[in-house]
Amino acid sequence: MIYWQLFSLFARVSLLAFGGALGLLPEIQAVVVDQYHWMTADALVQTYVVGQFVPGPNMVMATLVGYKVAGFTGALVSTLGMYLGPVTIVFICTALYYRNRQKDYVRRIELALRPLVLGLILAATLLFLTQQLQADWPIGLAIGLPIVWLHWHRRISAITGVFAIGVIWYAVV
Amino acid sequence: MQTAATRSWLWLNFKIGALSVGVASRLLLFEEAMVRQHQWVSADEFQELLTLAQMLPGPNLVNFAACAGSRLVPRWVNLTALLLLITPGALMAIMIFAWAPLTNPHVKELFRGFAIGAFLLTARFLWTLASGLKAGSRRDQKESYAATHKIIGRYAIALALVVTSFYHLPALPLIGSFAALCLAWEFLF
Repeated sequence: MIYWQLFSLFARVSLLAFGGALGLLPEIQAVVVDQYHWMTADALVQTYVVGQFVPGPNMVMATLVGYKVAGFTGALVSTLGMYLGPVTIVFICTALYYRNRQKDYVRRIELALRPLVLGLILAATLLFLTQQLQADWPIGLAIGLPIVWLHWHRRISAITGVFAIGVIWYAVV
Repeated sequence: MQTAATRSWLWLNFKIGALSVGVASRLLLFEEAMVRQHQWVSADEFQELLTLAQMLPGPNLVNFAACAGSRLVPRWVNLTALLLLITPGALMAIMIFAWAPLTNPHVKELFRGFAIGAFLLTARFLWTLASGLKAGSRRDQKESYAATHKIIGRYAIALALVVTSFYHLPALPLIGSFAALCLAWEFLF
């Protein structure tokens, strides 16, 4: 029963996930904290925070909630619930899109929506940077900009750059 | 469009699943490998896949990987790659959550540094996305640019979305209304 509840919760919220995991927190909290009392609000926020720092998709909070509520099986079921619906939809829509890709109106719709994609990614980047840097933004920029410059001119890869900034930040701050 | 070698696609997904932080930087790694390193797709096709993935519900990164994988590799390779993308982070998160070293200030600060680095490095990727707003509607013309007023309008919409996002409005109505605005700008003006 609990596995089905976890699966159906994350299957439902995954289909509402437009624009990132943060928007899903209220819905997940309503079920996990208020309805079933599986965990406290603080613990739920902690799963979100961990999800932002580990590699891979940032919806890992689904896995963590499942793990907290019902161990490894719960984690597996929640993860499956989170990804099954969206991946199925992506497979269907990609096939349909590429079947009609050469039509002019499809190209125009895709072009029309590009500002939306740029805006969403830029907004998420700026929001996250302002949250993380706060008063330390001069140090962040002083460490980051030379490495961004090196990456921009293809002297170092993105992963090397991320680790370099992380380690220098840790050493300095 | 080329097809990707199975092993390269699986390795790329595993690498991103195991080593990357920050959604935008994960997309940057896809762009770096798909467009620059292996040239599986052009910059324009990459943006096309990204737009498609972003418009569908679900985790952005997994949507993008599934979308790009559908074009580049057979279905079973795509599904295996998605597992490789999702599993390392999930296992790492369980370990962190179980042992909670994030409460340790040293670990917290190190992860904070990685996250800041990841987001700063998206600058070039964002520049590439911004350049894509200049594209015209003729897919067969390599250097096809849209009319100036159309391009300015697209940048203005993207900027307005960024500004509006800082007011923490509900995501679905926000994205819905901006999508409508984008379509209206493209087709009505």
